[in-house]
Amino acid sequence: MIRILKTDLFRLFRSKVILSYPIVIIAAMVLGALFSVKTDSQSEEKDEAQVVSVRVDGGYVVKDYVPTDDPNLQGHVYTNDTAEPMNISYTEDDGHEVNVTIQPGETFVSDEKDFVKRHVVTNLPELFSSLSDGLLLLFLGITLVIFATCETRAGFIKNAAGCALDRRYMPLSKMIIGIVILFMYTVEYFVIQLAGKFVYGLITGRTLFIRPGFLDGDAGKFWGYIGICLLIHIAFIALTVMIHELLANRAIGIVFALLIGGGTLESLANAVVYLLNHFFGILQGFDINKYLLLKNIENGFYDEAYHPQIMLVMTAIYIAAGAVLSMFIAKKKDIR
Amino acid sequence: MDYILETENLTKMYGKKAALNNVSIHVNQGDIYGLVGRNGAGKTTFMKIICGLAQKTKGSFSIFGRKDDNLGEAAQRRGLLIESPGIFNEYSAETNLKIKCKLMGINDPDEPKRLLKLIGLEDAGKKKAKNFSLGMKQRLGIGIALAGSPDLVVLDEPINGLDPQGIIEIRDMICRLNRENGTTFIISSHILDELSKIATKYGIINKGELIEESPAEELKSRCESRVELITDNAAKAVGVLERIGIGNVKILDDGKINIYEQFERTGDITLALASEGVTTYEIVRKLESVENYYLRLVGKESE
Repeated sequence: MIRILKTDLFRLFRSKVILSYPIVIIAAMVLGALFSVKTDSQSEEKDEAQVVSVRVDGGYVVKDYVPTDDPNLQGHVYTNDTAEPMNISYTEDDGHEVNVTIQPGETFVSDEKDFVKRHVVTNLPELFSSLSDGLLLLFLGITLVIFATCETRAGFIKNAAGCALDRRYMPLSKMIIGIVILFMYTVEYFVIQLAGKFVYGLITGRTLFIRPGFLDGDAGKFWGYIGICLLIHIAFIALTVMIHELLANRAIGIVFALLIGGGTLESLANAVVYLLNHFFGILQGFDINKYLLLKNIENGFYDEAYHPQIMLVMTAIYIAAGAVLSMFIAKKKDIR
Repeated sequence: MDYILETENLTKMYGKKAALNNVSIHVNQGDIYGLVGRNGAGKTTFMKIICGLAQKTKGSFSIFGRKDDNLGEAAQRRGLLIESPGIFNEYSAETNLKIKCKLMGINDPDEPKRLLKLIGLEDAGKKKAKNFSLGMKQRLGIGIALAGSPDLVVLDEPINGLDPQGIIEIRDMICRLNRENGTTFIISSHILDELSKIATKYGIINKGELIEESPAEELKSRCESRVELITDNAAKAVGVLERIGIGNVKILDDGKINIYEQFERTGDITLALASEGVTTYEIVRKLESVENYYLRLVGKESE
């Protein structure tokens, strides 16, 4: 097993296909940055026009804005409709405590905009967003399929199988390679995003600020979600390896990755459930999305119908089924 | 006798079709075993099974005394080149050999270079395999099979694509490894005359069945028994031969008659023919090539 894995790792780090993902991400980031520089300068001009006063509160600069319909400002607008002065206390994203007294009839807008202008602000989940958008799943699947089928197409699989003490180790090695690719791509995405934002900050004269935690600020929940996301990706790896063992066909493997990564398979599954429900009256109230890979990742990220227990159980089932079936097929199949 | 490889009624079915039917072969230590057969006869299937690449349907085999269901380390004492060289075109020859060495758990950094020298590619080690000629790829495939100095090497059509010089080099290399290291080879080839220069034992497979297994010496002695006869009336001559008890004959397209039975005196034949009015122009004992012997054998089986 160790020898097979060593050989696979040796091949992996000499393979050009692993460069595809970072190249695509860097290209997308450069284009995105160019676009955001343009839109940012436009919005800055607009924001300046909305400032009505600037004051200092405990050494902290607070700009007052005219309330607008801008959805970004809505959450930070405080209007005192009472006859008494109103005290507002809140913590800024950089940890700064702000206490403001709003006189009757006055409106206060928190300095979020000003804060954003001074920093390149990013959320921690954003640096891991590759896990939630299906792109990583797609590239992971394609990379793994190309890596695995390369061995079959070259005929080297005969050399590998011919001297393997147990052929069942071969798909296991591929799964570990898949996990290595997964972690490599995740770290690459994180580093590229971080580096990109840092460089963007240098260009625009701002500093990088990372908001910790999940969308609601819950760091524990966030890291739990990341862990489950990684496990779901590992489940996908197990299924990909199983399909490879079964068919050893590059085109089918890539189509499988596209179907899952692109969400098509999930739409199909939903359509099947809907049709069964509509025409035969069965599976009523059954939510298949709870049991689908990408849907679970999306649900978790957007906190919609987040079922960590179901996700964990489904992931375990997918991984176990993929691994066991792959090993069984590898043992029994004839190598062509 | 202890065989390095022994199969017993090895059978492989694809659906209802038997690709291999009760094949029992015996390979001794140090043999160069020539596996002969037409395309689709079952040679590659046989090789795949003994190399662990295909599942047998029935029967069993043992390698180095270990049964096929528990080969253990014995699996690593065999090298193989089956169907294609099994190389990564994007990598250099040296990297390809390094990959195989890693797979075999060989940590000696000089092993790839030793193999390159062995297969005569020491000057092309850094060159990508995709730029290799067919013959060079074939040599590299053989080099990969030889990584780790296996005791049993299975080569399926190893001289495919090689030029005459390359064929001689590979032949010499096989003989040298066999002589110096005692390496056992199982080789299939369509070029039987080439195979006959090195094989010490033959197994002839036809339609999935082993129709003959014999040491090279025995087979050669059978080949020598051919007598070539030219007369003025081939059809009448065959009738005369049958009457005197020689039935294993074949009339060739050019009217020549080949007699495949052993007998002491050719004079008896000329006398018998003359007494029936058949003129003998020429009668001569000839050494039959293994190829001709094989064709005759397979032809007979086909009938």
